[in-house]
Amino acid sequence: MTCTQVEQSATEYALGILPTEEARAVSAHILRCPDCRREVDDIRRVGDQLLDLIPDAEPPLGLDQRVLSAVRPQPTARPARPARRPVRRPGQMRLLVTGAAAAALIVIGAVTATTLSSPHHPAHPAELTAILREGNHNVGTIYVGGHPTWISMAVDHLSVTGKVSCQLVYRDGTVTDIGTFDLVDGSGTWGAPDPAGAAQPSGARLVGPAGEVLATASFSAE
Amino acid sequence: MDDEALLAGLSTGDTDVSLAFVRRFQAHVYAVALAILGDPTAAEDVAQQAFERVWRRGSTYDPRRGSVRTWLATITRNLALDSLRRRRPDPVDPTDLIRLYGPSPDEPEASTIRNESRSQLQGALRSLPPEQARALVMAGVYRMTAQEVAEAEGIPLGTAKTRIRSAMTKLREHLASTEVTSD
Repeated sequence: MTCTQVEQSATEYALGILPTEEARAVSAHILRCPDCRREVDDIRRVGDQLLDLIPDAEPPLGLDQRVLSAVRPQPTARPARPARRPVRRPGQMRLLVTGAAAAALIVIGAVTATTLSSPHHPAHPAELTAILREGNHNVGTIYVGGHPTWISMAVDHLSVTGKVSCQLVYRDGTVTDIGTFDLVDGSGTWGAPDPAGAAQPSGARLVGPAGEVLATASFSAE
Repeated sequence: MDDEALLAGLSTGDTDVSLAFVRRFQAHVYAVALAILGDPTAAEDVAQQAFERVWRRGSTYDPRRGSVRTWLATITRNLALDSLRRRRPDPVDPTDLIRLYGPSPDEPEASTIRNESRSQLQGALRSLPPEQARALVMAGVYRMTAQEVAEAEGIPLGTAKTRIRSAMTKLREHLASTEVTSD
């Protein structure tokens, strides 16, 4: 994809509404093109700022107290957990989103623990990678990172062909659907913008057409 | 205490800091939820969820991506859209939200013109042709795809894509040309 082509799709991509296949192509381009990446970042910033224009509204009485009661059980940041697996340097963690299933996907690591416990703002948005497992077998990898945050998933050796959905799982138990993609002979690569923006998932899963969980990945060392 | 310091202070668990944080942002968080959901009870639920999420993920705030207030608004917006999709699988009618962005001569100055850049953005949005502003709000706030915008507006997909793209381009041009140089 050229910069000119990316420019056509940049707004939709930055707003997270571009169809998956096109979004993958844009993502692959901006991984290597700082100018286009800056453009996308700027559009995303302006898009978020649209929310600033919504005039304040008087909240219901006592909302602040109710919020405080809800959050009080966990008022402090979680303590740091050591990563169980060796952690690669950030430069090695980038996944190239390409059509081929195999290349550059063998990244193992979990950086969630130290990032979540830091009282300071991280210099970069967290980059998370994890292995997708089906039972005892490794069936792929998932990567969350980049700027804007992008989710890449590569699957190999899964005993399923057809449509599968990617979901991110959060510590509070909520699950967000990221999107659906096709596996051919149990393999496929796919990517999408992270709809949750600044959120940090604790894990991910792949679900089949009937909602059955096919594979899971955990970003934390739990 | 500035917004970022207040956010950083949440990790101390100090009740005064926590209360100050909620009180500073609750009107905006609630407003964003209400604008999208249209229902006060659902909006209150989402506002609470948004603050809970901030408590868990405050350390992931990245100042390069915008202000704390905007960050909170995007968290709220995403939760509100999740809630909306669960409650109503059909495409959203953004009419009420769009009305908020329209010209409002009797708006009190203090509540709408919070700062220079915000008033620029408001002016820029109002300077757009209405159909482009609508498309941009649908895509930018409601995260409707170009296909969904096309269906909602009864226009071809290509037209929807063009409106979204043109609106954003014009918006950014307007913002760049009226940029306030002092920070």
